[in-house]
Amino acid sequence: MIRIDIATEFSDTPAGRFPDDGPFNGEFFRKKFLVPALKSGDLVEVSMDGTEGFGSSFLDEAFGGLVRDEGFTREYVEQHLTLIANLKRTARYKRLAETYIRDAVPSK
Amino acid sequence: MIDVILEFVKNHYSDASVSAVVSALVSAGFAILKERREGRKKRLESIDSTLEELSAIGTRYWRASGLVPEQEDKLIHHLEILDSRLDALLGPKKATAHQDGLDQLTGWITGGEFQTKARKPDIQRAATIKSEIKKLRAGLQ
Repeated sequence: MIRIDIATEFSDTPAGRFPDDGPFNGEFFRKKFLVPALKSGDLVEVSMDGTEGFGSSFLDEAFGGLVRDEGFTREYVEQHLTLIANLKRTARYKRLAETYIRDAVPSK
Repeated sequence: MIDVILEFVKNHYSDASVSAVVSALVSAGFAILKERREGRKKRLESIDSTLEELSAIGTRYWRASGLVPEQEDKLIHHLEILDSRLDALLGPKKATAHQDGLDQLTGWITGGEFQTKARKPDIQRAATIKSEIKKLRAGLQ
């Protein structure tokens, strides 16, 4: 099991979609953390607690982008990736990220 | 069961003391109802003011372009406040319709090119944010 804590390992202020938008953007998080973890074949647990909050654009780019841009199937992502939201305020972000994974359409 | 209680009260207490107790109970009941109504009114007012701010900042944000970190932080923060205020009003078993409404609103406000350098003014999105907030407001009345 690979565990990733966004707030402590990446940033407590994740924001934006692309590298141009800032250092802690969704694409960077996806490529640096999520893609290698998922490619290993292990189960991956991502904790969403402890940040200042997420914009939907970040969540869509980081999580929806796995299916849209990285070649993972929705089923694979849903079977291997678990989002953790222990705090009440984080539950909404978990729900949104799961929606973006579910609704993503592969671009290639 | 109630017959037994009434019979017991009739046999053991004077009419005056019974009516005093009944009147006190009724008053207490009304006081509780009033307090609940006022509490709900206050919670609705605080939700309303959060929605008003979200509408103002959200529409201003989507009529402009590029990164505006101060407004972006405020929008994320206000959506979190709205989430917790809806919880306080509706209880932990928040009605699915409101949860969906809040998720949709979050998508409209912080989705698309939110927090991106390339963001362009999106008048249609600004109008949708306004109307989604209106819908959410109406659903709470």
